[in-house]
Amino acid sequence: MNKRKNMLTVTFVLLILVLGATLTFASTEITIWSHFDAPEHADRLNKELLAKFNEAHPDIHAKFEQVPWGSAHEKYLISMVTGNPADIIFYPTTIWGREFWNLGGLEPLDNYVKNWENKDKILDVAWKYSTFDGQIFGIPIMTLPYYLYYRADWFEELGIEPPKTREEFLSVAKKITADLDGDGKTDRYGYTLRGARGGNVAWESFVMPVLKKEYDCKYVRDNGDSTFRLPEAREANQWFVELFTKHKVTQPTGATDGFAETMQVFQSGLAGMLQQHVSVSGPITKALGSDNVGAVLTPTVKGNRATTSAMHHFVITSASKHKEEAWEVLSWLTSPEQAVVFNKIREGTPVIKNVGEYDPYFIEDKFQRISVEQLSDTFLSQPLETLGTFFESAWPENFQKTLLGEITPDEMMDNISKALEGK
Amino acid sequence: MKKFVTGLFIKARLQESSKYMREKKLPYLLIAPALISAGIIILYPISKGVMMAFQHYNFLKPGLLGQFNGVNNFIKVFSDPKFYIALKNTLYYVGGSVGGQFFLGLILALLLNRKFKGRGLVRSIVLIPWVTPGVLAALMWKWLYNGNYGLINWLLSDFGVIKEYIPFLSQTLTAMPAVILMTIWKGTPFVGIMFLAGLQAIPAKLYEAADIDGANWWQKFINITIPLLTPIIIITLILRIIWTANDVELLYVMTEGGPGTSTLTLPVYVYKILKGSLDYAYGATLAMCLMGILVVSVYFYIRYVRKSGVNF
Repeated sequence: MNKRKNMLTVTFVLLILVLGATLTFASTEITIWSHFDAPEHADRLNKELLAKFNEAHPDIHAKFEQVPWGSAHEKYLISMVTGNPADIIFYPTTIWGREFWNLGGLEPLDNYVKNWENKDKILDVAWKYSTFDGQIFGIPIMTLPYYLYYRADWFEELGIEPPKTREEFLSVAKKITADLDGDGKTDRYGYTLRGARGGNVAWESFVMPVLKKEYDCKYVRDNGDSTFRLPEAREANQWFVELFTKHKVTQPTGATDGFAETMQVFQSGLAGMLQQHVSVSGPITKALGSDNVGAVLTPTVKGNRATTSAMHHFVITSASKHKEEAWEVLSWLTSPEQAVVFNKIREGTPVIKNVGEYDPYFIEDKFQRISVEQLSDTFLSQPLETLGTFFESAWPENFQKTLLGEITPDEMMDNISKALEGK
Repeated sequence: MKKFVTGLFIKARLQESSKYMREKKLPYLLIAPALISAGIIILYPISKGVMMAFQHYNFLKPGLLGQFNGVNNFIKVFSDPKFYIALKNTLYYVGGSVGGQFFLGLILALLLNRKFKGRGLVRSIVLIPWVTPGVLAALMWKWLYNGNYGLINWLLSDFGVIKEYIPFLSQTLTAMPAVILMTIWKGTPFVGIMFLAGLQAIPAKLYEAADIDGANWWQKFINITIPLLTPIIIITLILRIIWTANDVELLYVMTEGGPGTSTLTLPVYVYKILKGSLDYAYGATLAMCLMGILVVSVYFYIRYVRKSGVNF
């Protein structure tokens, strides 16, 4: 009798397991590749965001998979060439998007979007950066435009206002730069300069404004010549270089300082201004105290303001075997209610109209507020094949040589122009 | 009867021959799995790299992927001014790093070969730089050299050696020497341990005989230590030259080849090409050029040494 009872129990348990397994495997797996600025983001997004979706959609199981930032570009590109990318990819720049699109790696989303109830809830400027060749390639979800952080306590102490123009910026930087203890050494500097790879974003915010009205912030004109050969661009570059070479309002290591070093310079109180995006506001306020840090829009240059949009998109890959299900996931993730949760976890700025209605945090937080405001003065980096070379080597190498006096600012502009033109 | 015996003899010889053949083939069969694995892991990537050097292989132009490109990649390399900058920097980096490791490694080995209390512990501790992961070592030294907060600057300033902090990695003049110093710190323990093993193989009787003959320490060093250590020196230097010439992580983490191109070596240039323009064919061509230079250099080095009468 006991033996029979045990057999029935074992059989029942096995049946449950098999049923569970069947139900699990019956759901469609949708994988989302994404890089993350912090290791815990993937875990939080899966648990706090996607878990809700998976619960409401038992026939679909979506999950984020972390891709290291350093290899994300190659991984996405090569997987599209070889035909085995994830169903959905999240990436940070339309430059990559243009490459993926040219490869035929992205699924056009026009047919999905035209009947989508949330399409009019996304900012127009975000949609502007979401099409190639007249077709929608991805859904914009997050933006990280650069703006200007400043030491509010120092500004108050010196009785100065945050700068609105390039000229005010220099004036303020000079006032902050000081030898505080009279030992002949400068103890603090006005501006945190980033000369290593990635520093071109801040540099462009001082050069691109002069190329905004006539050239729409393009790197290369239709005739194939780089806009950096133009006199107004050269003048803007010269002005920026002189912050280091002539006015000495930047830290002496600025020529080769990268992200980590510039964050350290600002957080340790060596410099009074830093250009960065909203996702670093947490560490900065933790180090300096929220009251001691302010944020303003990047200064205007000759009446114009421009900084790269850093528009992040979700895309469906053309190789995905579950495009309909992928759209279910993607449209849910990018709905306003979920987009604000996503951006809060990812420390980005949503591209939703009236974002404060969905989460007042994005209006109340001074850094998010500036980030949203900065959006209207952003530009899309012109997607050129040579842009990778420009970012990786042409700009940092030539900018560093210029700062160290090995080449002139004009020679720098000639060299980076050649690189952009593909010569 | 005669035929029977002949038949038996032939059969025995055939059996012997068959056994001989089996025994001859057996070692190859036994090492075949290892050879095949090594071949796949080593030979396939190398041959793929060589093939790529003669092809189009840019992931931004997938339509041309794998198409034959003749020697155009090599023409591009030899007409690229940056190739020569990177080559010059590679020679500077390898010469400075390996030279420093040789001298310090020899001194270290001579010291560790002496008897003193705690020698075993010291021999273990000196290995720490060698076993520290490259990325970690590079990051640590990057912060040590930092021109705003670095420990090196702080010590030099505190001892009155400098008045103002030096941005070691932000100046063309000091960046490469700074990186070379870090590489010497990292590589010296390996060289020292290799030389120590060589020193310990030298028979003590030779030194005793030299003592009897009245030789001083320098004479013993030149006439006994160096000649008998030479085979180890050669092997160690060859290994260090190859490893240092191929290094990417230490340089890229510390300077990314900057400031400007002052620390841009060939492997770092290859890495930047792959990351920036995704032109794997061009990167492979640069790598092949480096491989060729190393192979030729090592060949002539070994040939020269053998002609000098050193057997190893």
